[in-house]
Amino acid sequence: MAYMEYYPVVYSSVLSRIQRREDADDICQEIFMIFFDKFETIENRRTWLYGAMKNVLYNHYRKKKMNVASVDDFDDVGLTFTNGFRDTRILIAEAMEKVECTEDERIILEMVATYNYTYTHVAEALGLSRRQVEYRYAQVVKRIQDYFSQKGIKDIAQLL
Amino acid sequence: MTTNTEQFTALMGKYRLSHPVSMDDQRYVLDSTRPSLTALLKRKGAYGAALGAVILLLGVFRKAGVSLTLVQAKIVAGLAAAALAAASVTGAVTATHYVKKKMDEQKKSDVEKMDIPLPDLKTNDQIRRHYSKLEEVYCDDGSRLVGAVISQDRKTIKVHTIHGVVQLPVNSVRKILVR
Repeated sequence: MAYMEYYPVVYSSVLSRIQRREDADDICQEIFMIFFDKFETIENRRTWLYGAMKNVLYNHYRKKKMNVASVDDFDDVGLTFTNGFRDTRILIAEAMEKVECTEDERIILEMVATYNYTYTHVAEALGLSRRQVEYRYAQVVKRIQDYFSQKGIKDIAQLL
Repeated sequence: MTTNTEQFTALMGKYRLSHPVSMDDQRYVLDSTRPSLTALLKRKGAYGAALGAVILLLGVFRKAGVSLTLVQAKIVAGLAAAALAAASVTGAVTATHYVKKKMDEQKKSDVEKMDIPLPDLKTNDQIRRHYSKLEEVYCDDGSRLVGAVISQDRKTIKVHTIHGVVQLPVNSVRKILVR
């Protein structure tokens, strides 16, 4: 049931951008309405949902006459924070994107690392125990650390 | 492991890659997941009582730390509905039996309460004429009564004889013959 797993992640992503629950409710409803219609034909649900989210958000900003140059602006980690950390930001984002994960693990990674959900809340969202979430998250972080090692960064502390 | 995860969280924070969602908002998101799915299905005209029950079950199981697929949830909902139906039928049958039993008891006690005086019958012929029958009741102890059986239940049997009405335990009666 993709809805139950992805709704918290998509909602958090939308909310972190627009900060208003009422708007986030409407936007998520719109995204998942399209998702419902196209469910059978979607291969990668996560990619599709984020793509749809960008388009719906872009339309939302346009309606509100807010300034967004293009849909792609939402994802560009290099553009959004350019005070000398650009390369490291790109490296971390790349590691998170390329690390091998199951669908559940990726949701855990995003909810904990990106949106700072507690393990308990993630467990509730995914129907897992708190310990399972904690363990799986640690496993994913270990793989990210391995990815950093391949790039010559032996310890996460080096980047802090 | 814990240090690594903490360091990674700190790393995400330092490079502004995290977008923390407040505890309040986290709670709101989790609580609104199921209602928003229901609203979506209603808007699409795909919502029904059965699907509502399945979604409810999914939510309840998730809160309990058990992840079910939609198919599994449907099976659980089906089993729960069947169990509920079976319990309802059993309950209805039990209740019907209880009401029937009470009504029978009431009817019986009403009959018993009807204080109809028995006629004073001094001969077997009078008994035969009155009841249109005359019977011989043989008991286990070898004794024999002549008269008419006027009532019987699971425990006792009443025989109207020329000496009056005699009440006997049913299990003490060996046989009854019609004369």
